[in-house]
Amino acid sequence: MSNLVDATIRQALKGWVGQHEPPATGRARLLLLAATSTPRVAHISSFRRFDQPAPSRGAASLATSMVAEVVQSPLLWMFQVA
Amino acid sequence: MLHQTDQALVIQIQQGNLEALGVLYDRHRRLVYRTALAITSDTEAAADLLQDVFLRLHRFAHNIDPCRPLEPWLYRMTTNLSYDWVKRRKRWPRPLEDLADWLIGTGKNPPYESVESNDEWVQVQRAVAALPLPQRVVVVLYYLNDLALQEISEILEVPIGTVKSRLYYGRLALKRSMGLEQDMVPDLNFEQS
Repeated sequence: MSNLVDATIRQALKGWVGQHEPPATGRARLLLLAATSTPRVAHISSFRRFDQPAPSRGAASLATSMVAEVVQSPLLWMFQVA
Repeated sequence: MLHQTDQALVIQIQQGNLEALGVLYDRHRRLVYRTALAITSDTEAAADLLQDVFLRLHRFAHNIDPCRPLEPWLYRMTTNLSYDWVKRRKRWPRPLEDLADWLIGTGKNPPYESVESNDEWVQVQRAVAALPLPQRVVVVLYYLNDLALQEISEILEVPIGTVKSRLYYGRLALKRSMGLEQDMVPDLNFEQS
C-alpha cells in the first residue's frame, strides 16, 4: 500500500519529530503537580514557568494568576448579585 | 510496577497511586510529546500539552475504562488539546513577553527553529504546519503514529470516509509542498484501502 511519496513523508515527519525529546524535568513536575493538584486543572500557561531558570518570571506569572484568582471571585459574586 | 500493563496501572491511579502515573508517563511520554509537537510545531507547547494530558489522566482516571487500551485515550486527549492550542494561538496574538524574548534572541522556540538541520525535515515541518488543522491531525496520526484509518476514525470520532478524505487532501498538499509531484509511482487511492 505504501509508495514512494508516503515513505518520504513518513520518513521526514518521523525524522523531524524524532530528534526532539520531552523535557527531562517533566516526570518530577508532573508528580509534584498531581500530588498538589487543586480541584481544577490550572491553566496551561501557569505550568510553563514552573521550571524556567529565571525565578522572577516564574514568580511574576504565579503572582499574576494569584491576583487574577483573588480579583475574579468578588467580581463574579457581584455579577451574580446584580 | 514497570512490567505491569497499562490497564493495571490505570486501576492503581484510580486508587491514588502516583507512582503508577509516573510509570505510564515514562512509557508514553514520547508518543504524546511528539504527536503534540507535530500538530503544534512548537516545542514549548508540546511540553505543556504533555503535562496537561497526564494531569488529566490523573484527574479523570475514574472515568477511564481500565478494560480498554489506554493509547487511543492518550491520542484523543493529545489531539483535542493540541487542536485547542492551535485554535487559541490563531485567535490571540503572541504574548508580548514571548515576542520580546524572541526579539532579543533568547526565544526558546522561534517559528521553524534553526536547529532543524535536515532540509527534508524543515520542508515537512512547514508543509504540515500549513495544512488545515483537521487534515494536519489525520496526517500526523497516519504518518507519524502509523495508525490505521479505522483507528483514526475511532480516535477522532468521525466517519472513516472523512478520515480518508482528509488524508487524501493532506497528502496532496504535502506532496506539492515537498516537491514530490514528479514521482514515478501512481497516486494512492485511499478509497480502496
